[in-house]
Amino acid sequence: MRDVPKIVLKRLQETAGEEAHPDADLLTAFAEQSLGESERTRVMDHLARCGDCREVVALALPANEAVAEAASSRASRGGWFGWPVLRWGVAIAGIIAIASFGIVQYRQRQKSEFLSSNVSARNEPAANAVQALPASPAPSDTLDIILPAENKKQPEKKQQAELKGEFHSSSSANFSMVQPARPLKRAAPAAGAARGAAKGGIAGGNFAMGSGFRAGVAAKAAPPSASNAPATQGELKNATPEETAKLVEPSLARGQAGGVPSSAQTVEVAPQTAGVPATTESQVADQVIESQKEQPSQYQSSATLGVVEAKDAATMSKLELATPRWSISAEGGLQRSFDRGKTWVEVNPGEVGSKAGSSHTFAMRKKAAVQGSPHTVFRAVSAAGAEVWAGGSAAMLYHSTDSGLHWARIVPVESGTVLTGDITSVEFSDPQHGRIATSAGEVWITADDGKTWRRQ
Amino acid sequence: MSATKTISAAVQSAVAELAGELHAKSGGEKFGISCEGFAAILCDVAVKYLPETGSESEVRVFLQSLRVEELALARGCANGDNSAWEIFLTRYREKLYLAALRIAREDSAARELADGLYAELYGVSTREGVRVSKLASFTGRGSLEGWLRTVLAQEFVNRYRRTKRLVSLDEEIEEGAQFAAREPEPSSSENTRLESCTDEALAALSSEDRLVLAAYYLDGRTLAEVARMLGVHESTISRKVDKLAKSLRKKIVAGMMRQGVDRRAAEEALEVDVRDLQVNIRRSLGQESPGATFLEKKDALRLEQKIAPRAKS
Repeated sequence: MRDVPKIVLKRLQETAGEEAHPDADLLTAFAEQSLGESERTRVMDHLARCGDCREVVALALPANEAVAEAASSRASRGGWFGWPVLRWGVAIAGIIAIASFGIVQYRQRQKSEFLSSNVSARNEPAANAVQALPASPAPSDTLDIILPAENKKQPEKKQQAELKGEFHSSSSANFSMVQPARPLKRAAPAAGAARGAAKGGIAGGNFAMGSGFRAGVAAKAAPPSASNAPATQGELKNATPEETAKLVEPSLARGQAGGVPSSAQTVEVAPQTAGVPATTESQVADQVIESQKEQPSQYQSSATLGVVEAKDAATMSKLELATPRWSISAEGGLQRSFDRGKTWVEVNPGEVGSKAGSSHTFAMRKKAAVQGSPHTVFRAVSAAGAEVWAGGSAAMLYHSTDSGLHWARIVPVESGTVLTGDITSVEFSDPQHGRIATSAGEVWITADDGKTWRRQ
Repeated sequence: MSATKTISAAVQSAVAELAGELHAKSGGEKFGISCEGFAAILCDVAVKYLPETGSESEVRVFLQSLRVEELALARGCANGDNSAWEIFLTRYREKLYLAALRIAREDSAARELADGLYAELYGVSTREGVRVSKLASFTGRGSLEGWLRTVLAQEFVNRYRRTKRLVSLDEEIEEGAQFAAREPEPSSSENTRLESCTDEALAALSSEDRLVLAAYYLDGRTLAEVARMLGVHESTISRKVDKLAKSLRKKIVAGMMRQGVDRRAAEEALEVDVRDLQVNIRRSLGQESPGATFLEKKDALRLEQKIAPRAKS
């Protein structure tokens, strides 16, 4: 509930007085966070009273990406969010992931009556971590990990759904690790992706690469992901073979289905020690290895290990490229860029699955703008990872969960009343909560990702 | 550019100390700006923004925060230096147009805006035979690119607001609001108490909080936009708005209770006011705050009084 008493707004407005406006230099310096504390306060004081200057500051803001990146790079630069802390955070999260994975295995083994009570006692402390980390991606996703070229869309959709589910039940440790570099509106996908990275360089890096933009690993997550990758690489390099296998295995052994290829056995061969050593780690590895025989997949781990290290750098740049950016063109067209804004392509939600050439839709749009035909003139777009909401003329509202490949037309309605007017702004503070304003002065909100709407 | 203020000793010595270093850093030489010339520019800028009582170290910190390369480029252009202008065009021509497009949202308006600014930057107008370029007023406190965007935005807002204001001023003249004698304020003591408690609650807020309130509720901006204006994450603004919404109501009621009004009456007063104000709030929100540029505060207040009785009848 975000309403303030109207009297507040009235008095706020009336405090406007005749006073000198800050010059362009001051306003620019304000927007670029270059003012000292006292000057900044003075400017904000004026801005609180002067709608014109607020308008100027808002209009003069640079394009979305530049600002958001500056914000996230500021966040990741010093103090808590510095690289060393992030790396250790990743290492710790990785170990927790491994331990929790071990617990999962243990529980499965219990069912098949394989373990002694020793292990359970030692694995107890990690139980908490297990609670926090629910089911991992399905094996088909793992397949995607290995074979990014295949790039299946169905598993990717599942992945995204799983990511979302994972996010909601993720541990606070993981969440806080992601927090520092979390860009605007990208909590869920970024958390999922960072956790993916934590689980193991392979799982994280290739997972994201295989699913590319679908997993919603924002370019903004690239800085932390980039730091994740070297950290994990370091881990990989320095870890013992056992640990390496463990890093690899999380994605493997969680697979429930899939064939039993002999190649999977190669994983175990390398790190496997015949006996049953006393350490937890070895036991975990043993559990892993044993369960491998039960639930193997086609994962070619030994080859992939080497591949991961080489690929991580490429992965990072691909991640940066992969997440699309959205904008509204001057003619009211919805545009998407997969290359950080260098080139833009018109996207038309009205034509399902269409990849119409930009000239085609441009012409149609021009026509619409001139003749007022039903072809939508877009006015607002809001995107977070692969989730996109776009609104425009004649109450047209479209929603996509796959970065604009498929769209659903959404009609906000509340007890028979339908949203009217042109949609002038769309904002989703998180995947569930959104707010739409229209030219008819209406404000509609949703708290369930657009399934139901309420007029404010 | 001559300084109208006196140059304090602190500024003089700080500039003397840093001019050489900053001039070298700025590359002003290749734009025909000598070290002495640059020192004069630095003095002007320091005097413009710093209080006279500032210490030398404050001045030094300030000078070192300036973007001297861009400052030199801008001043070089203002002086008509060709190499400066060439660099400026290469770097900023495209960006200027793109920024205009983002601001004006429409191709022809954007071109007009950008071209208009170019003319001013180039120095088409003259004063006493000397070409006057807007770039001469760039002081290097922010980036040149940001400054260009800000200037564009100011130009756009002025044009648009000017047109809008003219319309509304005409309306007001028709309604006789401009020349009517000031009416006595509505006698409701409840109203006055409510207003003063509200003012008190607002005054207790930080300028950032008030700015967020104004931008989000008065301007109707999105959380994301407000966050970008302030250079923070959207979640920060979201939290702030929630907090403000909750606490303002409480504070106002508490203030009224302190003045002897009972809680229920205070809460009712808040509600009653909402209904009554609905019409004129919508109307006054529709126009940008009139008090800001053209009308004085008392005129704005007069307008409100004019509107309120009419709404009730």
